[in-house]
Amino acid sequence: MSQDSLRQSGVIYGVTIYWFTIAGAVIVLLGSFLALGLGWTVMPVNEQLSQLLQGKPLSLSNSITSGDMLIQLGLGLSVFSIVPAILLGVPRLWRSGYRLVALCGCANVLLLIGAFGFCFL
Amino acid sequence: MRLFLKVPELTLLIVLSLACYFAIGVIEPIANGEVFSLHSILSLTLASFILSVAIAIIAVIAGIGGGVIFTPIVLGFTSLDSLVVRATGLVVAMFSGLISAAPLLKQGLVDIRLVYICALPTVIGGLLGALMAFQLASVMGPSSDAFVRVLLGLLLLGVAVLFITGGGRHDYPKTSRLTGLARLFSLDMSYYEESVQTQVRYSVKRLGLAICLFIGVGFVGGFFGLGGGWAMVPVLNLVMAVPLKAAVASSGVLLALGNAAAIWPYMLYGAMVPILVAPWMLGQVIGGIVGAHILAKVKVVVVRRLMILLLCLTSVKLIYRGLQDLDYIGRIIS
Repeated sequence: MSQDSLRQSGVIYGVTIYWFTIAGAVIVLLGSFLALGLGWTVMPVNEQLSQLLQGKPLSLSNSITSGDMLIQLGLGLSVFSIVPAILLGVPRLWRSGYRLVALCGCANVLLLIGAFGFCFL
Repeated sequence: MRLFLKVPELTLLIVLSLACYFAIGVIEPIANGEVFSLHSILSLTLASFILSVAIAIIAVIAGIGGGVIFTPIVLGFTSLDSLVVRATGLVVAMFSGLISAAPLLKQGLVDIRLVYICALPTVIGGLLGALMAFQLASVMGPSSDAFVRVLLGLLLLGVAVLFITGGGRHDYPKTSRLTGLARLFSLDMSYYEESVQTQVRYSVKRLGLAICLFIGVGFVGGFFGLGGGWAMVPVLNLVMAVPLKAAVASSGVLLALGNAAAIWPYMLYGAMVPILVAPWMLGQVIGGIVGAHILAKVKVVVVRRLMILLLCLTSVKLIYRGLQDLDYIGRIIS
């Protein structure tokens, strides 16, 4: 079993997530600017904050054109980057003989996609 | 300073973040409301961002995930809705782990086999915990917040005791022959220990027991929005015999993967409030990169002592507030 392939598989996983998360952070930043800078929010920021600080939950309907939605998109992109990160690294694990570990990686992907599907579809 | 030159994307993110907040302050688009002026909204956002950077650095160095610092403090000292706090807490818990995965995996401190295997039970537990949080809120109504505060306070006291009695931790546990499940997965590992300039070898033990414990850790992390990193280090180090430094590094990476599924229910039910979460996420990304680069050189003792103090104070405050909201304090006094 190759230790080099194992290390490379880990690095592929980490680097993929790293760059997706940085891209996600830039999108979140853009969303923050639109929401706080230009006031493109589903509900006025003042209203959101005062409701939150009074301990009330918010029911925000997501508008695709709002800064709020862009922030959620950035967050979702970073979290979902785990899926391609695992899928890119798993073939190397499989070829280097760590097949059970590769299967665990795939099971994690299925769980993440399954949970997403269960919640949103 | 060398770090900012070595990692240009970190510098770029910091500059972009500061430029964005500066631009928001200059444009002044938000009408001053009855409750909040633009100045106070911007101050709140900037304070969240700076606090998040500090929490992320501490979290990566201590291997605990920032949720265990963020969630109790915000629940104990503000009146924000507990589901909103827990959703933000999960973001705080997992984003420093997400971003620090690359440097830690490159340094060889984290073994990807450990991450994939231990993440499975954590993902399942985390998802169940998040769904249970909403179930509890719908069954108990407003009193669920107080109930969660008391439970979390008690849990944190337990965590503080775990940190205090952590003297039994093994920096370099003895290696032995692989048995059972660990043998099936060939979990013989090694990493280069920079502080003693040597290759440290270790073999994973008691994988079956650890898998059961990770389901519980995931559940608690998903339910309270803590992440669960505080429990991962003891499980990795004391149960699985992973050397302390590798356990600390693995915990953060594992936390990110293990809590990913728990985020979706909070998003679905609208508990993830974007303008509240954004500065915390950005701070975690920046602090996570900084923390991962200084982890190899830093002594964790000071961070741990600070954590113990913080946990004790916050748990007392949480229990007091929870009991007060449940009207127990008033009844005791009268």
